[in-house]
Amino acid sequence: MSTQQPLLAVAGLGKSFGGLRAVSDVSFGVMPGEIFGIIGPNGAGKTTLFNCLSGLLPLSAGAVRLDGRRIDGMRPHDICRLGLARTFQIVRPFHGMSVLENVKVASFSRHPSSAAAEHHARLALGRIGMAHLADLDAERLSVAEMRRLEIARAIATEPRLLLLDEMLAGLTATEAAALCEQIQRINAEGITIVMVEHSVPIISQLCGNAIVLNFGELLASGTTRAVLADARVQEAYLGSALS
Amino acid sequence: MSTTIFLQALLSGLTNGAIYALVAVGLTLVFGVMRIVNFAHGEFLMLAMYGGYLAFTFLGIDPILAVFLVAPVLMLMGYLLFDGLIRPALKVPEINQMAVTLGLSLLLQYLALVVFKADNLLVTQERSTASIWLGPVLIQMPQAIAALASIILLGLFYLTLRKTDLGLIMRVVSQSRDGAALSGIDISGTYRWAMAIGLGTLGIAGPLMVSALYVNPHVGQLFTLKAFVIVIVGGMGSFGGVLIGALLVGVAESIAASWLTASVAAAVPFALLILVMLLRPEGLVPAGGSR
Amino acid sequence: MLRRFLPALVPTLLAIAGFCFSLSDPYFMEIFIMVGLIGTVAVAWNLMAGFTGLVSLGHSLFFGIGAYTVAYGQVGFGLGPLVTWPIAALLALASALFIGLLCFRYGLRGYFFSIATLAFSEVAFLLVSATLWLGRSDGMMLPSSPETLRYLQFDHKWPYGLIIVGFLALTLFLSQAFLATRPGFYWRAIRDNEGAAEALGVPAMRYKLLAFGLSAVVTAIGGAIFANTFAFVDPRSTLGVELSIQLLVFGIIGGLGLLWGPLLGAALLIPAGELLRTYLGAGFHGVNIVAYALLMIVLALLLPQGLGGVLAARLRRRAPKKQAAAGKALAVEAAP
Repeated sequence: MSTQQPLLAVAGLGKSFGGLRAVSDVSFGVMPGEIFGIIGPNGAGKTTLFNCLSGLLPLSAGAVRLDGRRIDGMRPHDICRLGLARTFQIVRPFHGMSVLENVKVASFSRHPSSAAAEHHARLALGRIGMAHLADLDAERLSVAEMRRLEIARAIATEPRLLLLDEMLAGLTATEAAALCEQIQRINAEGITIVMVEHSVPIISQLCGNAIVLNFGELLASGTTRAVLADARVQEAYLGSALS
Repeated sequence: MSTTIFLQALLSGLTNGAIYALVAVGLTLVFGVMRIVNFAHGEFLMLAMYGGYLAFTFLGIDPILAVFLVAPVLMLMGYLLFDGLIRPALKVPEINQMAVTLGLSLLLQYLALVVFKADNLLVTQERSTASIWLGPVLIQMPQAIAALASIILLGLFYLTLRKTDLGLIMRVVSQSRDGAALSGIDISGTYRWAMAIGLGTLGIAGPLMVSALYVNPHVGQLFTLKAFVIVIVGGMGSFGGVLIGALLVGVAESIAASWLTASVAAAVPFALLILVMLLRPEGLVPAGGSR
Repeated sequence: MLRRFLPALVPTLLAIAGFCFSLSDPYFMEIFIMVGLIGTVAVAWNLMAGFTGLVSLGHSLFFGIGAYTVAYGQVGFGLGPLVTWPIAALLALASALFIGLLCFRYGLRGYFFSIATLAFSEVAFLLVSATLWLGRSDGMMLPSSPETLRYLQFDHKWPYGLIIVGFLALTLFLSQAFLATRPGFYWRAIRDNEGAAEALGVPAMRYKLLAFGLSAVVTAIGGAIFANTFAFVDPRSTLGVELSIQLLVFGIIGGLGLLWGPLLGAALLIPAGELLRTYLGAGFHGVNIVAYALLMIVLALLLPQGLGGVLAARLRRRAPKKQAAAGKALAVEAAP
């Protein structure tokens, strides 16, 4: 297991806006098949990190490798074709399209013909338990359903690695539990997952390994248990959040 | 090209540039504060020019004094325009906003055509033909007055923006609408004032320009386009950028006019825009403006 | 299959009916020609504006490229439409790709993109107005020739009407073929949220250029047909900003989210404008434009989906169960 090559390898990633450093010198590796957690308070640079990984923002420093191949500097759609998909924290379905059509946009990247794209979009909706909502106007969905639509769109691009950006924020406990189960099922089907999350209990429940970001810097990394026990983490983030 | 001709072109370019700056600065203010491009900006200049012409022809008021009549009228128009059209337009998609102000531009142009016909009108007085020698080069009196007034006004405008509470509020709103609303600033009120001042500057420029330039119903369109070019060349939203952009456009245009045909010279501002797009793309997007 | 092409088929059938009706009177035929020609160009413009979110205010550039290629091709080299139309299409494609690449690479969006396109068309307008061998602002007449078919010169207007019916049908079916498949989905995704679309594997740059190129080629063919139909081109009517604004007017009034929306706009406004002009006389030249402008302002504010959007919603509601899907297909809903 330890000789295996990481699916995602981030080395010395830095990103600054003008003079402001949002992320600096962040390194970590994600092994194939795991659920990997990224924890940190608001403004810790988690979303910026995701934007850098998925190619929406150019890096200021460092390198990102997917399965050994450099992906930093590539366009987002090329990164997506190589097997890295992501969801967005602010969910906004494409306007005027049904649930199915929203997912179809994503499956077109693997299946150019309309019929095949539609078929695979339906499969993706089925995997996330939304098949019965296919023909609904996507804007009529509830918040929890929109989150699942985000995941359905992302898995319709047939990724190897899925980045989930705060999927559980603002959901009720029941909705969150159901979504956690779905995330685990997707992972069991062979998709490696990196998730940014606020809630420590959820991270410790789902993720074997995790990193903690604080003010754009890597505070700790390792097994989730070890990371959460780290004194600096306790002090910087958890102490204030949990006490 | 001899040095004298060059200097002459440079001088008339700079005087034109000063006037362009005054026209463009109102457009920038409105865009900066409420993120809406007013395609009818030039039509209000056209109305102000007619205002100056009518005041002179029917009331015998000198264009310089007419400013005190026309500018308040234009400010009032801006005030009313905000509540009548711009406020509802802020709620519809961007393409519909474009349709609204383009529609207004057409409306004013063709209403003016119905009322004033297509004739070219100009205020001519004794001083119209007078001119001043500056060393080897010559400047027409009406141009000199308009340029001088523009420079004074731009200075006043700058001071308003920098030193007054209203100016501060406008700068805050243009940086963050939500942040301003959270700190209790009356957003609609600020928008209304921006619109009033934006058009008010035209109320000053118009009467002064009508002694130097013919007015007809379509004269505004040309100025709107030039103002766009100036604003984009100057980096959309910065006061200094507009000044530089305006002088650049004015000078490029008048130097081109001194050795090209008028029609080719008219294309120069747009060619300049394209050149800037190619060479200085970072000058185009406002800092923190669009996503 | 048939249902998918309903939004193209119904307007085509209506256009054929309109053509047959217009055979009765040359004046009607002239109006029909303008509606069909400008309406079709507006449909092409809307592929960018309504479906991809790229509002061009410089489409007259491509119309002018088409018109002047035909005119100069015949005047200068004696070339007929068989040669000049493809050249016009290629020139328009090349200019669209150049302008698009320039604008998109530097991230021009929204108003900035519109103003940049306007600037390009204005440069062309001014330069052509100053170019001696293109007839300056006086324009160019296409010399008449006895070779009817080679130069598409007919004694009557109706053969041009027939050509325009074909142009309209081809454009509608081609556009619908794009809209119903991958490009259409990608365009709408880009219009809505370019970043999210790219993250889902949409090569945004390529598909924006596709929309721009396709739209420009159809517009240039429109310009080419214009030149052959009227045997005359001049900068104001083929390169002027008025033409570009007209496309926006038709789109806003007819409905930007619909394939046939701009066509509806043209079919309502061009005859209405003619009517106004006839009744008010030539003395009130500006009145029809005043009416246009008022209508555009009011509809842009109060009816953002346009008249076509209202019509489509009504069709969908009225349609009995069996045809409900057809009604929906007719209204490929995609308001911006």
